[in-house]
Amino acid sequence: MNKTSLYKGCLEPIIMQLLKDNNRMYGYEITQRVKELTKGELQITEGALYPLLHRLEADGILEGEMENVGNRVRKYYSLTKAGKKEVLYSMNEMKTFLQTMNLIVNPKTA
Amino acid sequence: MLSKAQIDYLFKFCRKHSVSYYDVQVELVDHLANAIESKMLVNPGIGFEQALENIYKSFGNKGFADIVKSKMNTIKTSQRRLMWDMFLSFLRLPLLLSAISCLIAEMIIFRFAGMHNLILAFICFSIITISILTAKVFWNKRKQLQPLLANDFGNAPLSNYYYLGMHTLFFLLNVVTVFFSMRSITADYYSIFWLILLHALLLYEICFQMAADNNYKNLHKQYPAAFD
Repeated sequence: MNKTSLYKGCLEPIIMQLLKDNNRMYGYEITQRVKELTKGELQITEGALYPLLHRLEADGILEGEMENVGNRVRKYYSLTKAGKKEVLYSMNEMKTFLQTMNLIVNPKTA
Repeated sequence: MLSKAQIDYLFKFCRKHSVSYYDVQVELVDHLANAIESKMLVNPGIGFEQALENIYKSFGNKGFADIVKSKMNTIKTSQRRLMWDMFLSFLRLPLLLSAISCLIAEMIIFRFAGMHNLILAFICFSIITISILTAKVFWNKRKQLQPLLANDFGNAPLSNYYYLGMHTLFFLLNVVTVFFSMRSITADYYSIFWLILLHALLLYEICFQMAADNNYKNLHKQYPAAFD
């Protein structure tokens, strides 16, 4: 099975947790940070990252802030007040999901 | 760090690949520039254009299309939310009470004032409102140097076409109201249904205007290069 599709559903809590830890990040930085943390195991594609960032921004979970960096403009994303609440819920959901998966994968240790 | 000429080339590259909106281009250009810089750092022998081509391939067969599509959808959603928030901001008790008082006052005036004068005043009011709002739409458009997706998109509630459509509907409803008024002049001579509908539409227009103004101010703050 393609591992990318396994990770796909977890992208939202991953990005939210990263923004919680780093306060604000830009798109490329997120892709590189995830790659670094997972030692290259998880590589977020641009086609998956930006639609998700845009959706979270429209849902009021994230807010964008433009900043001039050298000779270009950079868009930083950070969690809104609602986003900061949502990240706790989202991480709990992911932990429950991982525990449930563990029950199936390792029934003896459960 | 890439040079100004290379950044300009990336903007051209985006436009060449059907990304015509400046607010989408800005984010893509920064992403491409970061990726190119990293690639050139790891592999100094690789040229700028070769690095760009390699990175573009990582966007998949559809290129930038999915990103533009997702941005369009999110803008539609956020514009609808902006409108709805404006509308809800009117539904507070003091405002509702004053609106109902105005409506009653208007009905009383209609009962006692001369009908022909009121009809004329009504048509003049419609024409002036439509002219001011339409002029404002075109004025905003003129001041904008770069197209912004968040300010100009198909049938989104805040787009110029949608505006003009709403103004036309507003005008037509006014005409219908006047027509009804004339027909029922001997009876109740004013249809309360049309009056309420007209005012609801006027409220919708005001919400449009307020949401569009807020949107415009935010965009001006976020993307000054697109306006100056």
